[in-house]
Amino acid sequence: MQRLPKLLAILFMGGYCLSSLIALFWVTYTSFKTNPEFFASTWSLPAELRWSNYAYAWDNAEIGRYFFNTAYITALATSGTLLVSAMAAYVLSRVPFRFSRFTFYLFLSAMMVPPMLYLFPLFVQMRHLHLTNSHFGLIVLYIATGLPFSIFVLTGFFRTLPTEMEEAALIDGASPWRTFWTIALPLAKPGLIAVSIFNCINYWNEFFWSLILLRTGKLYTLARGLQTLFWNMSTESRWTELFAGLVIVMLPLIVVFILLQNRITEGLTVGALKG
Amino acid sequence: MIQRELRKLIAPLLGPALVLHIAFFVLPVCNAFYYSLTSWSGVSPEKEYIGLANFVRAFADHTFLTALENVFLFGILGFLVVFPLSLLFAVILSKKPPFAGFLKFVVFAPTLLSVVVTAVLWGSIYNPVIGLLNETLRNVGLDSLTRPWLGSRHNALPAIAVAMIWQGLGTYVILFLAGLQKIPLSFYESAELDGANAWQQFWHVTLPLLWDVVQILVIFWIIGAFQAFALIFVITRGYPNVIEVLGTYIYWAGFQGQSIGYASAMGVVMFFFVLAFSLVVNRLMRRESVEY
Repeated sequence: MQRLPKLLAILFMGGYCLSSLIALFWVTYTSFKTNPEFFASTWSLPAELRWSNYAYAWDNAEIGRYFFNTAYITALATSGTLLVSAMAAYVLSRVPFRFSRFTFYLFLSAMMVPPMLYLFPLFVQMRHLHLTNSHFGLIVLYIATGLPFSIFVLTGFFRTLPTEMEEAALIDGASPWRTFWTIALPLAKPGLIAVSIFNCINYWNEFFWSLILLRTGKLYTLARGLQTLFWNMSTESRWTELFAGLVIVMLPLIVVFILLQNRITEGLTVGALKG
Repeated sequence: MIQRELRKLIAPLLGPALVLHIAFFVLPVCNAFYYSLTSWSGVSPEKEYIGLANFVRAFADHTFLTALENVFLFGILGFLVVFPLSLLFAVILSKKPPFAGFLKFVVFAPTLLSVVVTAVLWGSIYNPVIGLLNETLRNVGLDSLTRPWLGSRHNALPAIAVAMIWQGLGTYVILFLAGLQKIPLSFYESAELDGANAWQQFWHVTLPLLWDVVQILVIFWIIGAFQAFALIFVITRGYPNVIEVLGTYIYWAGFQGQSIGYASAMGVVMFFFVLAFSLVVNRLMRRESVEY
Protein backbone atom coordinates (compact mmCIF):
# COMPACT_ATOMS: atom_id res chain seq x y z
CA MET A 1 0.00 0.00 0.00
CA GLN A 2 2.76 2.40 0.98
CA ARG A 3 5.04 1.39 -1.86
CA LEU A 4 2.92 2.61 -4.75
CA PRO A 5 2.72 6.32 -3.78
CA LYS A 6 6.41 6.22 -3.02
CA LEU A 7 7.22 4.77 -6.41
CA LEU A 8 4.97 7.29 -8.14
CA ALA A 9 6.62 10.15 -6.27
CA ILE A 10 10.09 9.01 -7.30
CA LEU A 11 8.99 8.48 -10.91
CA PHE A 12 7.48 11.95 -10.92
CA MET A 13 10.65 13.56 -9.62
CA GLY A 14 12.71 11.53 -12.09
CA GLY A 15 10.46 12.76 -14.90
CA TYR A 16 10.85 16.36 -13.82
CA CYS A 17 14.63 16.08 -13.70
CA LEU A 18 14.73 14.28 -17.04
CA SER A 19 12.73 16.99 -18.83
CA SER A 20 14.92 19.63 -17.27
CA LEU A 21 18.04 17.84 -18.50
CA ILE A 22 16.55 17.34 -21.98
CA ALA A 23 15.88 21.08 -22.27
CA LEU A 24 19.48 21.90 -21.35
CA PHE A 25 20.78 19.18 -23.63
CA TRP A 26 18.63 20.51 -26.50
CA VAL A 27 20.15 23.98 -26.13
CA THR A 28 23.65 22.52 -26.04
CA TYR A 29 23.46 20.31 -29.13
CA THR A 30 21.47 22.88 -31.09
CA SER A 31 24.34 25.31 -30.58
CA PHE A 32 26.38 23.05 -32.91
CA LYS A 33 23.81 23.05 -35.71
CA THR A 34 23.52 25.45 -38.62
CA ASN A 35 20.42 27.62 -38.85
CA PRO A 36 19.06 25.83 -41.95
CA GLU A 37 19.53 22.52 -40.12
CA PHE A 38 17.68 23.94 -37.13
CA PHE A 39 14.79 25.31 -39.15
CA ALA A 40 14.45 21.98 -40.99
CA SER A 41 14.03 20.14 -37.70
CA THR A 42 13.97 21.40 -34.14
CA TRP A 43 14.83 18.07 -32.56
CA SER A 44 17.46 16.61 -34.88
CA LEU A 45 21.06 16.24 -33.78
CA PRO A 46 23.75 18.28 -35.56
CA ALA A 47 25.29 16.58 -38.58
CA GLU A 48 28.75 17.47 -37.24
CA LEU A 49 30.17 19.40 -34.30
CA ARG A 50 30.56 22.90 -35.65
CA TRP A 51 32.23 25.47 -33.43
CA SER A 52 31.52 28.35 -35.79
CA ASN A 53 28.42 29.38 -33.81
CA TYR A 54 30.64 29.82 -30.79
CA ALA A 55 33.10 31.92 -32.73
CA TYR A 56 30.22 34.04 -33.99
CA ALA A 57 28.68 34.45 -30.53
CA TRP A 58 32.04 35.24 -28.93
CA ASP A 59 33.26 37.75 -31.56
CA ASN A 60 30.43 39.11 -33.71
CA ALA A 61 27.76 39.05 -31.02
CA GLU A 62 30.40 40.35 -28.59
CA ILE A 63 29.68 37.76 -25.90
CA GLY A 64 33.45 37.64 -25.37
CA ARG A 65 33.55 41.33 -24.52
CA TYR A 66 30.54 40.97 -22.21
CA PHE A 67 32.23 38.02 -20.57
CA PHE A 68 35.27 40.10 -19.60
CA ASN A 69 33.11 43.06 -18.57
CA THR A 70 31.08 40.80 -16.31
CA ALA A 71 34.17 39.08 -14.91
CA TYR A 72 35.90 42.24 -13.78
CA ILE A 73 32.72 43.94 -12.57
CA THR A 74 31.86 40.84 -10.55
CA ALA A 75 35.37 40.62 -9.09
CA LEU A 76 35.50 44.26 -8.03
CA ALA A 77 31.93 44.36 -6.74
CA THR A 78 32.38 41.14 -4.76
CA SER A 79 35.58 42.29 -3.08
CA GLY A 80 34.15 45.75 -2.44
CA THR A 81 31.03 44.34 -0.85
CA LEU A 82 33.09 41.96 1.25
CA LEU A 83 35.33 44.70 2.60
CA VAL A 84 32.61 47.25 3.34
CA SER A 85 30.13 44.77 4.80
CA ALA A 86 32.70 42.96 6.98
CA MET A 87 33.79 46.25 8.53
CA ALA A 88 30.21 47.32 9.22
CA ALA A 89 29.18 43.90 10.52
CA TYR A 90 32.10 43.89 12.96
CA VAL A 91 30.99 47.18 14.50
CA LEU A 92 27.34 46.11 14.59
CA SER A 93 28.15 42.85 16.34
CA ARG A 94 30.94 43.94 18.71
CA VAL A 95 30.64 47.61 19.59
CA PRO A 96 27.60 48.59 21.66
CA PHE A 97 26.43 52.11 20.81
CA ARG A 98 23.19 53.98 20.91
CA PHE A 99 21.92 53.54 17.34
CA SER A 100 23.38 50.10 16.80
CA ARG A 101 20.05 48.26 16.52
CA PHE A 102 18.52 51.05 14.47
CA THR A 103 21.44 50.98 12.01
CA PHE A 104 21.21 47.21 11.71
CA TYR A 105 17.51 47.37 10.86
CA LEU A 106 18.09 50.28 8.51
CA PHE A 107 20.33 47.98 6.47
CA LEU A 108 17.93 45.06 6.75
CA SER A 109 14.93 47.09 5.61
CA ALA A 110 16.35 47.10 2.08
CA MET A 111 15.67 43.37 1.85
CA MET A 112 11.92 44.03 2.06
CA VAL A 113 11.71 47.02 -0.28
CA PRO A 114 11.13 46.33 -3.98
CA PRO A 115 13.71 48.11 -6.20
CA MET A 116 10.78 49.23 -8.36
CA LEU A 117 9.94 51.69 -5.59
CA TYR A 118 13.16 53.67 -5.69
CA LEU A 119 14.36 52.89 -9.21
CA PHE A 120 13.51 56.29 -10.73
CA PRO A 121 14.85 58.59 -7.99
CA LEU A 122 17.99 56.45 -7.92
CA PHE A 123 18.38 56.72 -11.68
CA VAL A 124 17.89 60.49 -11.63
CA GLN A 125 20.36 60.85 -8.78
CA MET A 126 22.97 58.68 -10.49
CA ARG A 127 22.57 60.60 -13.74
CA HIS A 128 23.32 63.80 -11.84
CA LEU A 129 26.50 62.21 -10.50
CA HIS A 130 27.43 60.93 -14.00
CA LEU A 131 27.26 57.36 -12.73
CA THR A 132 24.86 56.07 -15.40
CA ASN A 133 26.23 54.24 -18.41
CA SER A 134 29.49 53.59 -16.55
CA HIS A 135 31.02 50.47 -15.08
CA PHE A 136 32.17 52.43 -12.06
CA GLY A 137 28.58 53.47 -11.33
CA LEU A 138 27.37 49.92 -11.75
CA ILE A 139 30.03 48.54 -9.41
CA VAL A 140 29.28 51.11 -6.71
CA LEU A 141 25.57 50.37 -7.00
CA TYR A 142 26.22 46.61 -6.81
CA ILE A 143 28.22 47.12 -3.63
CA ALA A 144 25.44 49.22 -2.12
CA THR A 145 22.74 46.70 -3.04
CA GLY A 146 24.82 43.77 -1.80
CA LEU A 147 25.39 45.29 1.64
CA PRO A 148 22.09 44.47 3.43
CA PHE A 149 22.27 40.73 2.91
CA SER A 150 26.03 40.56 3.52
CA ILE A 151 25.85 42.64 6.69
CA PHE A 152 22.95 40.54 7.91
CA VAL A 153 24.82 37.26 7.47
CA LEU A 154 28.21 38.51 8.69
CA THR A 155 26.79 40.22 11.78
CA GLY A 156 25.18 36.92 12.70
CA PHE A 157 28.46 35.17 12.00
CA PHE A 158 30.62 37.50 14.12
CA ARG A 159 28.16 37.04 17.00
CA THR A 160 28.79 33.30 17.00
CA LEU A 161 32.57 33.78 17.29
CA PRO A 162 34.22 33.85 20.72
CA THR A 163 35.51 37.30 21.71
CA GLU A 164 38.30 36.20 24.07
CA MET A 165 41.11 36.42 21.56
CA GLU A 166 40.16 39.93 20.52
CA GLU A 167 39.84 41.04 24.13
CA ALA A 168 43.24 39.56 24.98
CA ALA A 169 44.80 41.42 22.06
CA LEU A 170 43.20 44.70 23.11
CA ILE A 171 44.37 44.27 26.71
CA ASP A 172 47.88 43.52 25.47
CA GLY A 173 47.81 46.93 23.82
CA ALA A 174 46.98 46.13 20.19
CA SER A 175 44.95 48.89 18.58
CA PRO A 176 41.30 48.00 17.88
CA TRP A 177 42.03 48.66 14.22
CA ARG A 178 44.77 46.06 14.21
CA THR A 179 42.69 43.63 16.24
CA PHE A 180 39.97 43.80 13.62
CA TRP A 181 42.27 43.17 10.66
CA THR A 182 44.61 40.57 12.11
CA ILE A 183 42.42 38.64 14.54
CA ALA A 184 38.70 39.09 13.92
CA LEU A 185 38.74 38.95 10.11
CA PRO A 186 40.80 35.76 9.78
CA LEU A 187 38.52 34.05 12.30
CA ALA A 188 35.48 35.02 10.24
CA LYS A 189 36.89 33.42 7.08
CA PRO A 190 34.14 30.77 6.62
CA GLY A 191 31.45 33.45 6.84
CA LEU A 192 33.35 35.74 4.47
CA ILE A 193 33.72 32.95 1.92
CA ALA A 194 30.03 32.01 2.09
CA VAL A 195 28.92 35.61 1.60
CA SER A 196 31.36 36.12 -1.27
CA ILE A 197 30.20 33.03 -3.14
CA PHE A 198 26.64 34.23 -2.81
CA ASN A 199 27.43 37.78 -3.95
CA CYS A 200 29.65 36.57 -6.76
CA ILE A 201 26.85 34.46 -8.28
CA ASN A 202 24.36 37.29 -7.88
CA TYR A 203 26.59 39.88 -9.53
CA TRP A 204 27.53 37.52 -12.35
CA ASN A 205 23.83 37.00 -13.11
CA GLU A 206 22.61 40.49 -12.34
CA PHE A 207 20.27 41.91 -14.96
CA PHE A 208 17.99 44.58 -13.53
CA TRP A 209 20.50 47.31 -12.67
CA SER A 210 22.60 46.74 -15.76
CA LEU A 211 19.41 47.15 -17.82
CA ILE A 212 18.69 50.44 -16.08
CA LEU A 213 22.21 51.87 -16.07
CA LEU A 214 23.99 50.64 -19.19
CA ARG A 215 23.02 52.13 -22.54
CA THR A 216 26.12 51.64 -24.69
CA GLY A 217 26.52 48.19 -26.22
CA LYS A 218 30.21 47.82 -25.50
CA LEU A 219 29.62 48.30 -21.76
CA TYR A 220 27.04 45.49 -21.49
CA THR A 221 27.31 42.63 -19.04
CA LEU A 222 26.51 39.03 -20.05
CA ALA A 223 22.91 39.14 -18.87
CA ARG A 224 22.26 42.43 -20.64
CA GLY A 225 24.04 41.28 -23.79
CA LEU A 226 22.18 37.99 -23.93
CA GLN A 227 18.86 39.80 -23.53
CA THR A 228 19.69 42.09 -26.45
CA LEU A 229 20.75 39.14 -28.57
CA PHE A 230 17.48 37.38 -27.77
CA TRP A 231 15.39 40.43 -28.59
CA ASN A 232 17.19 40.77 -31.93
CA MET A 233 15.96 37.30 -32.91
CA SER A 234 12.72 38.82 -34.22
CA THR A 235 14.70 40.44 -37.02
CA GLU A 236 17.86 38.31 -37.26
CA SER A 237 16.84 34.69 -36.64
CA ARG A 238 20.33 33.49 -35.78
CA TRP A 239 18.99 31.02 -33.25
CA THR A 240 21.88 28.57 -33.20
CA GLU A 241 24.31 31.42 -32.50
CA LEU A 242 22.01 32.58 -29.70
CA PHE A 243 22.14 29.09 -28.21
CA ALA A 244 25.94 29.11 -28.40
CA GLY A 245 25.85 32.36 -26.44
CA LEU A 246 23.46 30.79 -23.95
CA VAL A 247 25.84 27.89 -23.38
CA ILE A 248 28.78 30.27 -22.90
CA VAL A 249 26.79 32.09 -20.20
CA MET A 250 25.56 28.92 -18.47
CA LEU A 251 28.72 26.87 -18.54
CA PRO A 252 30.87 28.71 -15.95
CA LEU A 253 28.04 28.60 -13.41
CA ILE A 254 27.39 24.91 -13.95
CA VAL A 255 31.11 24.17 -13.52
CA VAL A 256 31.33 26.32 -10.39
CA PHE A 257 28.25 24.64 -9.02
CA ILE A 258 29.65 21.16 -9.59
CA LEU A 259 32.84 22.18 -7.76
CA LEU A 260 31.16 24.04 -4.90
CA GLN A 261 27.73 22.43 -4.60
CA ASN A 262 27.78 21.92 -0.85
CA ARG A 263 29.23 25.32 -0.06
CA ILE A 264 26.62 27.08 -2.19
CA THR A 265 23.63 25.24 -0.76
CA GLU A 266 24.97 25.67 2.78
CA GLY A 267 25.49 29.39 2.20
CA LEU A 268 21.94 29.74 0.97
CA THR A 269 20.55 27.87 3.97
CA VAL A 270 22.52 29.89 6.48
CA GLY A 271 21.50 33.15 4.87
CA ALA A 272 17.81 32.37 4.72
CA LEU A 273 17.18 30.46 7.91
CA LYS A 274 19.49 31.98 10.50
CA GLY A 275 17.32 35.10 10.64
CA MET B 1 38.31 50.41 28.76
CA ILE B 2 37.96 47.93 25.92
CA GLN B 3 34.57 49.41 25.09
CA ARG B 4 36.02 52.87 24.77
CA GLU B 5 38.82 51.60 22.58
CA LEU B 6 36.36 49.78 20.34
CA ARG B 7 34.22 52.87 19.91
CA LYS B 8 37.02 54.39 17.88
CA LEU B 9 36.12 51.87 15.18
CA ILE B 10 32.55 53.04 14.67
CA ALA B 11 33.26 55.89 12.26
CA PRO B 12 35.93 54.30 10.04
CA LEU B 13 34.37 50.83 9.86
CA LEU B 14 30.67 51.63 9.76
CA GLY B 15 31.02 54.88 7.82
CA PRO B 16 31.54 53.56 4.28
CA ALA B 17 28.62 51.12 4.48
CA LEU B 18 26.32 53.72 5.97
CA VAL B 19 27.19 56.36 3.39
CA LEU B 20 26.58 53.93 0.51
CA HIS B 21 23.36 52.69 2.04
CA ILE B 22 21.99 56.17 2.61
CA ALA B 23 23.04 57.46 -0.81
CA PHE B 24 21.82 54.48 -2.83
CA PHE B 25 18.87 53.33 -0.76
CA VAL B 26 17.52 55.62 1.96
CA LEU B 27 17.65 58.80 -0.09
CA PRO B 28 16.06 57.38 -3.25
CA VAL B 29 13.33 55.71 -1.17
CA CYS B 30 12.46 59.04 0.45
CA ASN B 31 12.51 60.72 -2.95
CA ALA B 32 10.23 58.04 -4.37
CA PHE B 33 7.55 58.92 -1.84
CA TYR B 34 8.02 62.57 -2.72
CA TYR B 35 7.88 62.00 -6.52
CA SER B 36 4.73 59.91 -6.09
CA LEU B 37 2.91 63.06 -4.96
CA THR B 38 3.99 65.08 -7.99
CA SER B 39 3.19 65.14 -11.68
CA TRP B 40 6.86 65.10 -12.65
CA SER B 41 7.44 63.82 -16.18
CA GLY B 42 11.13 63.17 -15.66
CA VAL B 43 12.13 65.69 -18.33
CA SER B 44 10.67 69.04 -17.33
CA PRO B 45 12.38 70.82 -14.45
CA GLU B 46 9.25 71.59 -12.41
CA LYS B 47 7.68 69.04 -10.09
CA GLU B 48 4.11 70.08 -9.40
CA TYR B 49 2.56 68.79 -6.17
CA ILE B 50 -0.70 67.02 -7.00
CA GLY B 51 -1.47 65.21 -3.76
CA LEU B 52 -2.84 61.71 -4.14
CA ALA B 53 -3.95 62.17 -7.74
CA ASN B 54 -1.43 59.57 -9.00
CA PHE B 55 -2.87 56.97 -6.65
CA VAL B 56 -6.43 57.76 -7.69
CA ARG B 57 -5.31 57.45 -11.29
CA ALA B 58 -3.67 54.08 -10.66
CA PHE B 59 -6.76 52.47 -9.20
CA ALA B 60 -8.82 53.68 -12.16
CA ASP B 61 -6.16 52.57 -14.67
CA HIS B 62 -7.27 49.43 -16.44
CA THR B 63 -3.73 48.31 -17.30
CA PHE B 64 -2.53 48.81 -13.75
CA LEU B 65 -5.39 46.72 -12.40
CA THR B 66 -4.72 43.96 -14.94
CA ALA B 67 -1.04 44.01 -14.01
CA LEU B 68 -1.98 43.72 -10.35
CA GLU B 69 -4.35 40.86 -11.14
CA ASN B 70 -1.57 39.10 -13.07
CA VAL B 71 0.72 39.43 -10.07
CA PHE B 72 -1.90 37.76 -7.89
CA LEU B 73 -2.51 35.03 -10.46
CA PHE B 74 1.22 34.29 -10.77
CA GLY B 75 1.55 34.35 -7.00
CA ILE B 76 -1.35 31.98 -6.36
CA LEU B 77 -0.62 29.71 -9.31
CA GLY B 78 3.03 29.39 -8.33
CA PHE B 79 2.22 29.00 -4.68
CA LEU B 80 -0.15 26.11 -5.31
CA VAL B 81 2.53 24.30 -7.33
CA VAL B 82 5.80 25.35 -5.72
CA PHE B 83 5.03 24.48 -2.13
CA PRO B 84 3.65 20.94 -2.57
CA LEU B 85 6.24 20.20 -5.28
CA SER B 86 9.28 21.44 -3.38
CA LEU B 87 8.15 19.76 -0.18
CA LEU B 88 7.62 16.50 -2.05
CA PHE B 89 11.09 16.72 -3.66
CA ALA B 90 12.68 17.60 -0.33
CA VAL B 91 11.03 14.63 1.39
CA ILE B 92 12.19 12.32 -1.40
CA LEU B 93 15.74 13.68 -1.22
CA SER B 94 15.80 13.40 2.58
CA LYS B 95 15.17 9.64 2.25
CA LYS B 96 18.49 9.42 0.34
CA PRO B 97 17.29 7.74 -2.86
CA PRO B 98 19.84 6.45 -5.41
CA PHE B 99 21.50 9.37 -7.28
CA ALA B 100 20.33 11.82 -4.56
CA GLY B 101 23.26 14.15 -5.24
CA PHE B 102 22.58 14.20 -8.97
CA LEU B 103 18.84 14.81 -8.52
CA LYS B 104 19.58 17.65 -6.13
CA PHE B 105 21.97 19.11 -8.67
CA VAL B 106 19.41 19.02 -11.48
CA VAL B 107 16.66 20.55 -9.35
CA PHE B 108 18.90 23.27 -7.95
CA ALA B 109 20.98 24.20 -11.02
CA PRO B 110 18.32 26.45 -12.63
CA THR B 111 18.31 28.59 -9.49
CA LEU B 112 21.92 29.53 -10.12
CA LEU B 113 21.35 30.61 -13.70
CA SER B 114 20.71 34.22 -14.58
CA VAL B 115 17.06 35.04 -14.97
CA VAL B 116 17.93 36.08 -18.53
CA VAL B 117 19.15 32.56 -19.28
CA THR B 118 15.85 31.18 -18.01
CA ALA B 119 13.90 33.67 -20.08
CA VAL B 120 15.87 32.94 -23.27
CA LEU B 121 15.68 29.18 -22.73
CA TRP B 122 11.92 29.12 -22.12
CA GLY B 123 11.30 31.82 -24.69
CA SER B 124 12.92 29.48 -27.24
CA ILE B 125 10.98 26.47 -25.99
CA TYR B 126 7.70 28.37 -26.37
CA ASN B 127 8.58 29.90 -29.74
CA PRO B 128 5.67 29.10 -32.08
CA VAL B 129 7.88 28.34 -35.12
CA ILE B 130 11.06 26.67 -33.91
CA GLY B 131 10.10 26.04 -30.29
CA LEU B 132 10.63 22.67 -28.68
CA LEU B 133 7.14 22.49 -27.20
CA ASN B 134 5.04 22.96 -30.34
CA GLU B 135 7.42 20.81 -32.37
CA THR B 136 7.12 17.99 -29.87
CA LEU B 137 3.34 18.27 -29.77
CA ARG B 138 3.27 18.07 -33.58
CA ASN B 139 5.56 15.06 -33.58
CA VAL B 140 3.34 13.08 -31.23
CA GLY B 141 0.19 14.00 -33.15
CA LEU B 142 -1.23 16.52 -30.72
CA ASP B 143 -1.34 19.31 -33.29
CA SER B 144 -4.52 20.66 -31.74
CA LEU B 145 -2.61 21.59 -28.60
CA THR B 146 0.01 23.70 -30.37
CA ARG B 147 -0.40 27.43 -29.92
CA PRO B 148 1.60 30.66 -29.73
CA TRP B 149 2.41 30.16 -26.06
CA LEU B 150 3.45 33.71 -25.43
CA GLY B 151 0.94 35.23 -27.82
CA SER B 152 -1.97 35.85 -25.49
CA ARG B 153 -2.47 36.44 -21.80
CA HIS B 154 -4.49 33.25 -21.50
CA ASN B 155 -1.58 31.07 -22.71
CA ALA B 156 1.27 33.18 -21.40
CA LEU B 157 0.16 33.06 -17.79
CA PRO B 158 0.65 29.31 -17.24
CA ALA B 159 3.61 29.20 -19.66
CA ILE B 160 5.55 31.88 -17.80
CA ALA B 161 4.51 30.44 -14.43
CA VAL B 162 6.18 27.16 -15.44
CA ALA B 163 9.41 29.01 -16.23
CA MET B 164 9.24 30.85 -12.90
CA ILE B 165 8.69 27.62 -11.01
CA TRP B 166 11.51 25.89 -12.88
CA GLN B 167 13.92 28.60 -11.81
CA GLY B 168 12.62 29.11 -8.28
CA LEU B 169 11.99 25.55 -7.16
CA GLY B 170 15.59 24.75 -6.20
CA THR B 171 15.76 27.33 -3.41
CA TYR B 172 12.62 25.97 -1.82
CA VAL B 173 13.76 22.36 -2.08
CA ILE B 174 17.14 23.15 -0.51
CA LEU B 175 15.59 25.10 2.37
CA PHE B 176 12.92 22.47 3.04
CA LEU B 177 15.62 19.82 2.90
CA ALA B 178 17.73 21.70 5.46
CA GLY B 179 14.66 21.95 7.71
CA LEU B 180 13.89 18.25 7.32
CA GLN B 181 17.42 17.21 8.16
CA LYS B 182 17.22 19.02 11.50
CA ILE B 183 14.31 16.85 12.66
CA PRO B 184 15.71 14.05 14.84
CA LEU B 185 15.07 10.55 13.53
CA SER B 186 13.93 9.48 17.00
CA PHE B 187 10.72 11.49 16.53
CA TYR B 188 9.76 9.28 13.61
CA GLU B 189 10.75 6.16 15.49
CA SER B 190 8.43 6.98 18.39
CA ALA B 191 5.67 8.00 15.99
CA GLU B 192 6.06 4.64 14.29
CA LEU B 193 5.89 2.85 17.64
CA ASP B 194 2.64 4.67 18.30
CA GLY B 195 1.34 3.26 15.02
CA ALA B 196 1.41 6.41 12.89
CA ASN B 197 1.55 5.73 9.16
CA ALA B 198 3.74 7.73 6.76
CA TRP B 199 1.02 10.27 6.04
CA GLN B 200 0.25 10.82 9.74
CA GLN B 201 3.96 11.16 10.46
CA PHE B 202 4.24 13.82 7.79
CA TRP B 203 1.15 15.67 8.99
CA HIS B 204 1.81 15.51 12.74
CA VAL B 205 5.60 15.44 12.99
CA THR B 206 7.20 16.86 9.86
CA LEU B 207 4.92 19.75 9.01
CA PRO B 208 4.65 21.31 12.51
CA LEU B 209 8.42 21.16 12.88
CA LEU B 210 8.91 22.72 9.46
CA TRP B 211 6.47 25.53 10.18
CA ASP B 212 9.17 28.19 10.66
CA VAL B 213 10.70 27.34 7.29
CA VAL B 214 7.28 27.37 5.61
CA GLN B 215 6.60 30.81 7.05
CA ILE B 216 9.87 32.27 5.75
CA LEU B 217 9.33 30.72 2.34
CA VAL B 218 5.78 32.04 2.00
CA ILE B 219 7.09 35.56 2.64
CA PHE B 220 9.90 34.91 0.12
CA TRP B 221 7.33 33.86 -2.43
CA ILE B 222 5.11 36.90 -1.89
CA ILE B 223 8.01 39.31 -2.23
CA GLY B 224 9.18 37.44 -5.32
CA ALA B 225 5.74 37.46 -6.94
CA PHE B 226 5.28 41.19 -6.47
CA GLN B 227 8.74 41.96 -7.75
CA ALA B 228 8.48 39.70 -10.80
CA PHE B 229 10.02 41.71 -13.60
CA ALA B 230 13.08 40.41 -15.39
CA LEU B 231 11.73 37.06 -16.56
CA ILE B 232 8.54 38.54 -17.98
CA PHE B 233 10.34 41.58 -19.36
CA VAL B 234 12.86 39.48 -21.29
CA ILE B 235 10.59 36.65 -22.38
CA THR B 236 7.98 39.02 -23.90
CA ARG B 237 10.78 40.75 -25.86
CA GLY B 238 9.60 44.29 -25.28
CA TYR B 239 5.98 43.62 -26.23
CA PRO B 240 4.49 44.07 -22.79
CA ASN B 241 0.87 44.25 -23.91
CA VAL B 242 0.58 40.48 -23.97
CA ILE B 243 1.07 40.07 -20.27
CA GLU B 244 1.92 42.89 -17.96
CA VAL B 245 2.87 42.66 -14.31
CA LEU B 246 3.37 45.46 -11.84
CA GLY B 247 7.14 45.54 -12.41
CA THR B 248 6.99 45.75 -16.19
CA TYR B 249 4.20 48.32 -16.14
CA ILE B 250 6.10 50.57 -13.74
CA TYR B 251 9.24 50.25 -15.86
CA TRP B 252 7.50 51.21 -19.12
CA ALA B 253 5.49 53.98 -17.45
CA GLY B 254 8.67 55.56 -16.11
CA PHE B 255 11.05 55.09 -19.02
CA GLN B 256 8.73 55.19 -22.04
CA GLY B 257 5.63 56.94 -20.73
CA GLN B 258 7.69 59.82 -19.33
CA SER B 259 5.75 59.87 -16.11
CA ILE B 260 8.12 59.46 -13.20
CA GLY B 261 5.52 60.72 -10.72
CA TYR B 262 2.96 58.14 -11.77
CA ALA B 263 5.53 55.32 -11.96
CA SER B 264 6.78 56.18 -8.47
CA ALA B 265 3.22 56.16 -7.12
CA MET B 266 2.74 52.65 -8.49
CA GLY B 267 6.04 51.70 -6.85
CA VAL B 268 4.70 52.99 -3.55
CA VAL B 269 1.56 50.89 -4.02
CA MET B 270 3.75 47.85 -4.71
CA PHE B 271 5.75 48.55 -1.57
CA PHE B 272 2.65 48.72 0.62
CA PHE B 273 1.27 45.54 -0.90
CA VAL B 274 4.50 43.68 -0.10
CA LEU B 275 4.53 45.10 3.42
CA ALA B 276 0.87 44.35 4.09
CA PHE B 277 1.07 40.80 2.75
CA SER B 278 4.21 40.01 4.71
CA LEU B 279 2.62 41.29 7.93
CA VAL B 280 -0.63 39.41 7.30
CA VAL B 281 1.20 36.18 6.53
CA ASN B 282 3.33 36.63 9.61
CA ARG B 283 0.24 37.07 11.74
CA LEU B 284 -1.82 34.31 10.15
CA MET B 285 0.94 31.75 10.25
CA ARG B 286 2.14 32.52 13.73
CA ARG B 287 2.05 29.38 15.81
CA GLU B 288 3.73 28.57 19.03
CA SER B 289 7.08 27.60 17.69
CA VAL B 290 7.96 24.06 18.63
CA GLU B 291 11.21 23.78 20.51
CA TYR B 292 13.12 20.56 20.09
